[in-house]
Amino acid sequence: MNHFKTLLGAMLVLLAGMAGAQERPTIEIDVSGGNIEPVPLAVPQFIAETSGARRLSGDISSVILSDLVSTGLFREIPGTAHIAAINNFNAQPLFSDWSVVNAQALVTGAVSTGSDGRLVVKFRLFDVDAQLPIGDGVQYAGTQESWRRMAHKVADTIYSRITGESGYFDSRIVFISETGPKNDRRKRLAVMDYDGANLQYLTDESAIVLAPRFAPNTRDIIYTSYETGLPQVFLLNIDTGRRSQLLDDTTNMATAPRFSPDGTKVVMSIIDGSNTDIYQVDLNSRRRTRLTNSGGIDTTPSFSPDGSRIVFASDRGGSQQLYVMPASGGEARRISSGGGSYGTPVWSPRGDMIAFTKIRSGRFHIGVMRVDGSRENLLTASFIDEAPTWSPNGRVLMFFRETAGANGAPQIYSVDLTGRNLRRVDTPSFASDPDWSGVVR
Amino acid sequence: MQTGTLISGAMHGALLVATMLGGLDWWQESLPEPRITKVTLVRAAELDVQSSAAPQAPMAAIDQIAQPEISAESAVAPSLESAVNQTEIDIADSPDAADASPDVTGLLLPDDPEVIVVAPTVDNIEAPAEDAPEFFQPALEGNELNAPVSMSAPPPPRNAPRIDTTAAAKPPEDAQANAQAAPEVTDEPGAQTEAAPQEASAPEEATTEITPEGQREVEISAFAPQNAARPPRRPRRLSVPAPAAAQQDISDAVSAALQEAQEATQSTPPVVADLSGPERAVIGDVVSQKWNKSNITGQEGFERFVVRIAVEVSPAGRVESVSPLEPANPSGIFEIAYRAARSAVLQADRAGGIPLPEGKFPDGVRLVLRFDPASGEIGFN
Repeated sequence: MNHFKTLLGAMLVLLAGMAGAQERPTIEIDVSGGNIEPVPLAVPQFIAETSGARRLSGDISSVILSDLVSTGLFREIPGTAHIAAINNFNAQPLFSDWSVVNAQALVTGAVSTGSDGRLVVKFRLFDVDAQLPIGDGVQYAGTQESWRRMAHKVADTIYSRITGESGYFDSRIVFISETGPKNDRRKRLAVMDYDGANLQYLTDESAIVLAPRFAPNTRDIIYTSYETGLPQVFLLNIDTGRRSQLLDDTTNMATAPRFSPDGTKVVMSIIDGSNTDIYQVDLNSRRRTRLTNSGGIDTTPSFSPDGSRIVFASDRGGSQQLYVMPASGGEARRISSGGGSYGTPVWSPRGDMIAFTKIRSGRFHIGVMRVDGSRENLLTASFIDEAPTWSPNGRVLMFFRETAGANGAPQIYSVDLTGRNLRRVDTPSFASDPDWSGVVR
Repeated sequence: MQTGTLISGAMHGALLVATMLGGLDWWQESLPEPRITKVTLVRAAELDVQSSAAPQAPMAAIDQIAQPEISAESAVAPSLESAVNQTEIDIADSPDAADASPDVTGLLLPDDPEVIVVAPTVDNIEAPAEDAPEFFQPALEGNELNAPVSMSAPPPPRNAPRIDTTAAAKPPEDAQANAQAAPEVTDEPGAQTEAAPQEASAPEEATTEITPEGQREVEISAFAPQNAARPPRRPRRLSVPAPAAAQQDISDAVSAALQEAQEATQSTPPVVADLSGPERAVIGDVVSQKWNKSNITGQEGFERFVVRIAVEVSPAGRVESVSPLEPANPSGIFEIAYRAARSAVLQADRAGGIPLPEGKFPDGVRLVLRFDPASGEIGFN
C-alpha cells in the first residue's frame, strides 16, 4: 500500500509539473495590407458644469469635432447614434456602449466658468477598443472670447495623441481676398483662422496686393503691394496695424518675399533692369545682399527650416526649374528633373520635402518631392492649382485653385500630404495665394 | 532598181555639194567640249611620300584666324551663373530637352560591344565519342563557362591494335601443306545457314484475352492471403514476489525514474503545433481587415514603423491579452503603430475571434503578429 501511495504521489507530482511546464505554442504571422480609413471618433457634448458654460460647451465640442474630422483622419460618430451619455467627467465611461456604435476613440470633456468670468475647458481621451485612457486629462483656462482657440488647443492635443504628430488647428491663414469681375478683380489682404473663422481684412482695395507671408512669430506679415506704382515689399504687424516699406529703393521692383526661419531676414526677388535675382535683406539694418547672379529669372525663394539653404525657381537652364543653394548664396543645384516647369517651391516645416507647383501638358499640379528632387509625387491636377503652403506640422498643404472660363475664380483648397482629403476652405469671397502660419503661441 | 540608184545618187550629190559649201563643222559643234585633264606622271615612290605626308595647312589662313578673347572674369572664380551651369543636371538636361520624354534607349541598349569569346558555350561543346575513354574532369568551382577548354586534362592515348610488324619466322624446311582441303562455303539451296534472331512471341493461347493492368492487380490480390498470420505470443513473465527489503529499493527507483522523467519533461521543449499556410493566411486576413493604418502612413518614413505584438488566444479563438514585443516599450510613432495593431486584434476578437483550427490548440496559442505598414502612395504621376 505504501508503495502504491508513493507511486501515486509521484504521478501527481509529474502531472502537476507537466501542466506547469506546458507552454502555448508560439506561431508568428505577418499581417499585411490593412486599411486607410478615418478613425471613428465620438465627441459627446461637453458637460456644462456651470450655467454660464452651457452655450459654449456645445460650441466647443463642435469645433473640436470639426477640427479633427477636417483632417480626414477621423470620422464622426454622430450624436444621434450615441447610446450612452457622459454626465460625469470623472466617471469611467461604459466602453461597451461606445464599442457598440463602433467608436474607437472617445473624447469626454467639461466646461465651466469661474466667478472671474474665466473659461475652463477640460477633456479626457479614451481608446475604446483597449478600454484605456490615452494620456492624462488636460485642462485649459482662458477668457470666454478665446473659446475657439481653446477648442483648437484641445483638438491639437487629441490629434497629437492619436497620430503622434503635432496639431495645426490653432493656426491662421493670410491670403488675398478677391472680389469683382475677372477683368477688374479687386484684391485685399485678409487673415483668418485656419478653418475660416475670425476673418479680418488687413488692407483696402486701393492697391493690388500679392504674395503675403507670415513671419515665424505669426504676428508680422510681409507682402507685395503696387501702391507706389511698382511692386514693392511691405511689412505689416497685424496686432498694431503698423506698416512699412521694406526697401527705400523705389526704382527696382521687388516681389515674392519670405521670412527666414528666425525671422531676422527676408529673401525676395528684385528686378534690376531686365534681370531678376534673389536678394536677402536684413530686417534690422535693411541692408540687402545679392544671392544669385544669373541671366535668368530667379524667384520665389524659400528657406529650409534650419535656415541653411534656400530653394528657388529659375529659368536659367531654359525652362523654369527648382534649384537649391546655400542660404548665403553660391552654387545652386537643380533638383527638379521631371518634364514640365516648376515654380513656387516651399520647404516643408519638417525639412524633408519641398512642395511646388508644376505645369505639364497644360495642367497645373501641386506636388511634393524630397529635397534632393527624388520621389516626386503630384497630389492634385486642375486647370490652375498654384502656390502651396504647408501646415505647421508638415502634414497638410493649402493652395488655391482657379476654375476656367470667363467666370473662373480662385478658391483655397487643402490636401493631405498623401494626396487624400482634398477639401475646399470656406472663405467669404474668392481667395488666392494663402500662407499658413505656425501654431499660434 | 532604178529607184534605189536614183536615191543613192541624189544623196551622194547632196553630200558633195554640202562639202563644197561649208564642210561638216555643224556636226562637230553639237558634241560637247572634251574635258582636258592635266596628268602628271610620278613614280611610285613619290606617290607614297605624298599620300603619307601630313597635309600642309595654309599658314597664311591660320594667321588670319582671330584668337579668342580671354576675358578677365574667366581667370578668377566663376560667376554664380557659370557655376550653376556646371552642375550635372544642367549639362545632362538641355533646356530644349527639359520637357521632352527622356530617351533611355542609350541606357537600356548599350552599343554593340566587342564580343570576346572566352570559352565556347555549352551547346558548342561536342559530345565525346562513345568509345572515348572517360577521364577526370577538374572542378571549375562555379566558373565553368568562363573556363578555357584547355584547362581540361588531355585524354590519354587510345589503345591502338597490337600489330606485330616483325616478320614471322620461316616454316621449317620439312613442313608440308595439308593435303585435305576444307570444303568451301556456298550459297546453294539446302546449305545450312544460321537462323536470324527473332523476337520472342507469346504462345497463341495467351493472346486471346487482354487483361488491363488494374484488373490484373485485382486478380493478383485475390490470391493474396486473407488473414495475416498471428504473431507468436510473448512468453509469459513469471511473477516472483519481491522480498520486503527489495520493495523499498523498487519504490526508490520508481521515484527516481519519475523525477528524472519530470526533469526531462521540463527541459524538453513542448511539441509545437503549427498552422498551415492557408490557416495563417486566414488569421492574417481577419486581423488585416481591422487594421487601420491611416495614422501611420502619413508619417515621415512610415515604412520603418513595423511592430510585433504577442496575442494570447484561448482554444476557442478569443483574445486573452495583447502585449508589445518589438519594440517592447513603444513610444512616439511606434506607440501609434502599436495601438493600431492592438485595435486591429481587439476588433477582430469582437467580430468573432481569431479563427483557430478547431481542436488544434487545446491549450490555446500565442500568436506573434508582425504589422508592416509599407504600402503604395497615391498621386497623379
